[in-house]
Amino acid sequence: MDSPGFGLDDLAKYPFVQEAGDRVKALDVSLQDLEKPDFKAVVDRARERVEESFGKRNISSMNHQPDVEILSFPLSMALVKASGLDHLMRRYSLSEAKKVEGFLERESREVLKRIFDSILSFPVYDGGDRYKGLDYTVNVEDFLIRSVHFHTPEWKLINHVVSGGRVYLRKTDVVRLVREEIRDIIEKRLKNIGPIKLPEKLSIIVQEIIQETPPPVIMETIGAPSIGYPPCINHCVEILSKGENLHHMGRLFLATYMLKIGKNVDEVIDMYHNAPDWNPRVSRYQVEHLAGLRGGRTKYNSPSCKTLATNNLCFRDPKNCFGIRNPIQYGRRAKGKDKVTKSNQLKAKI
Amino acid sequence: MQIGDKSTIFMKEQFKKYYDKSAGSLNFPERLSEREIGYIPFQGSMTRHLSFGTPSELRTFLIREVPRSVHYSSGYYSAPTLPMAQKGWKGADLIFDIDTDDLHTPCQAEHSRWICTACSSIGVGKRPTQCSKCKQPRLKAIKWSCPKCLDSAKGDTVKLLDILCDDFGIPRNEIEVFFSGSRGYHVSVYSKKYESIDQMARSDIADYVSGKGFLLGALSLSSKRRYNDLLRSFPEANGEGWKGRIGNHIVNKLDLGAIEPMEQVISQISKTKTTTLRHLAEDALSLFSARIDPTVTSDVHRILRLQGTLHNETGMMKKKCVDLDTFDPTTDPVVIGDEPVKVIVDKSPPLSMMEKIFGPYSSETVEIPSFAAILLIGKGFAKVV
Ligand code: SF4
Ligand SMILES: [Zn+2]
Ligand SMILES: [Zn+2]
Repeated sequence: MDSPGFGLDDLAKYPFVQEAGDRVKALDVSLQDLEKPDFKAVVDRARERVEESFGKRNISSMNHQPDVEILSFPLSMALVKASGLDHLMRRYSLSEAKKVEGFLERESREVLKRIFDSILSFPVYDGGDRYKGLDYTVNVEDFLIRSVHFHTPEWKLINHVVSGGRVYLRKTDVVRLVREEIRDIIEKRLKNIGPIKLPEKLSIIVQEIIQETPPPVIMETIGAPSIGYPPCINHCVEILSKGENLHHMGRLFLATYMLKIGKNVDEVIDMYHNAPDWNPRVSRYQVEHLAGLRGGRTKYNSPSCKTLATNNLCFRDPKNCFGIRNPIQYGRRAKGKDKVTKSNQLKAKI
Repeated sequence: MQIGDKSTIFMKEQFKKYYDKSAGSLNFPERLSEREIGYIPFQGSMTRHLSFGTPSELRTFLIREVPRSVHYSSGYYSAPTLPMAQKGWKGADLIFDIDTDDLHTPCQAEHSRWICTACSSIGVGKRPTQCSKCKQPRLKAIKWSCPKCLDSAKGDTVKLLDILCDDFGIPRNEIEVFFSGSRGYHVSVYSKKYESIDQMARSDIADYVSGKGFLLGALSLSSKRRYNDLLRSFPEANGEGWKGRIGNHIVNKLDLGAIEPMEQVISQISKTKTTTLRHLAEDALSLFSARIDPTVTSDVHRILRLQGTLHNETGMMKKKCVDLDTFDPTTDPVVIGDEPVKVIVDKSPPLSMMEKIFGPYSSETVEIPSFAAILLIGKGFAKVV
């Protein structure tokens, strides 16, 4: 069965599009069927998809039969869901999305257009030939609500050509935005899957997956302010626990903050386990340096709120962040409601 | 200023006259009933979390209460009267504040003053660490804007409008510009496209309009630059956005405007010293950016002075600038009358209002129009005798 927009090979690459779902329905395979030897390739591939998301590599794009790819996707979703592990859901969504990013980069303008139209919740326009290499434009508002989550200077609006309410983008930029959207779609779908009753063989696989999955980044609350960590810290931890790349400034901040509130070097290093480029030796060296155990022996201070704001790391909560200049002060100043009302008074532009 | 003293009574009387006469015809921002309103009375402290279902209720309130200042939220809420966490944020205007305080105009050296909150004595120049009279450390800078400062604020407002219209494509009729009543301009954008964006996105917009975070590397102006890199990354003639502004500035300053084709221009640029190029780029960033207060733009719960109400420190009105070019902040927002009143004034800088200059005064009793007296009282320089 060929869908009008996508060929079977496309569906294999992009198994989350509507047409791939239709294909799965048409193949009419039940969970029980999957225990049969005929479907061994599908089950193996599904398991591989999951395992690769926490292994070193991204999900491989080896040449499987299109139908194996298409069928293994919903099955791997079911396996992940059945594991009940939230952090596995996050990692899995990201690694599926990254795989797709790889495919998209090699696609022609026409296929890309079709994919954008079918999965994106915002329009991507043709950039014309006004600027060389900037083949696409998106609305400023659609761009902004996504780009700010990347937290890198390259993604700041000011570093793009912005005109008439549109942001000009390169193919790789649009693909990066799409990746984020796909991650989101997959994560949401996982959340929405209801309880599943898996046949025995598949249940065993789920148990094995649970055994193999590395533990999530846990944030010890010892030493944290009584009202919890400041929003900026929570954000950095969130990025790390998704297995995403926290940029240099974010890492530096997280480490200096944690050292400052009394965590030791090992505890801090542990927080970076999930980083995609984790290297125990380098991490130790860097953290010890920040702690003043190496190099100039200066103990580094946590960067100020102002610095964090210019690096897109500040998520100011109007109540508890009022009047503080450094995240270290978070939770040490806010005292009850009156204080807040008073400070809001001063804040009013008068 | 003491509650119940002559100066406060005088000020409140003048405010009352204004609201009696004008409140009935005031216009307020759209979606008034979804916004939080707060006010500071002449006696007592600020009340927040009010809401008014209709403009006429708010007008009646102004006439009855004669507040010292009134604020509204840029945000819209399902329940504006509940505490912040339960208000139910629905969106917010995109707002910009251009304050003479942030502009560091050279004239500030001439008109900066401080006041001691312990003994009320006033000093000239930058605020020292302790009061020269009573030695207490409780000093407050008196914020003062002269016509030059206000001109400079207007210039930045114009640049802001250019960026909002050209780059962001916001139709001019979705933007309102106000004189704040004291030290600068407020720009409000009422746009469906931007109302629901969060703090982070707003903060990136703030950086954009103020020229912060531009990566000069993107223009290939480094010392390792090669002709081909430049050719690839340098903006085409008449490029848009920041890259375009910077590129055009460099081309103009190096006088390459008439040269064609682009390859020729680039080859000229590639012969120019890196430091020169970097300086030109930095010049362009500061020349064309608007110096806004980024914390105002990024705050989705901000409260601002309500248009049509009086500024507590100046008695001037927060007024919509229908034509910014011709708007005169020393006359257009003056709504207090000119009946003469006797005040004792100390160390005030010269005050330009209604095409006259009042002062500088130094420990003297003078009879001046009410509008000027109110401003000098509001700033702390004068008392009614
Ligand atoms: S204001 Fe400071 S503490 Fe609060 S989120 Fe921003 S950087 Fe963190
Ligand atoms: Zn004193
Ligand atoms: Zn001045």
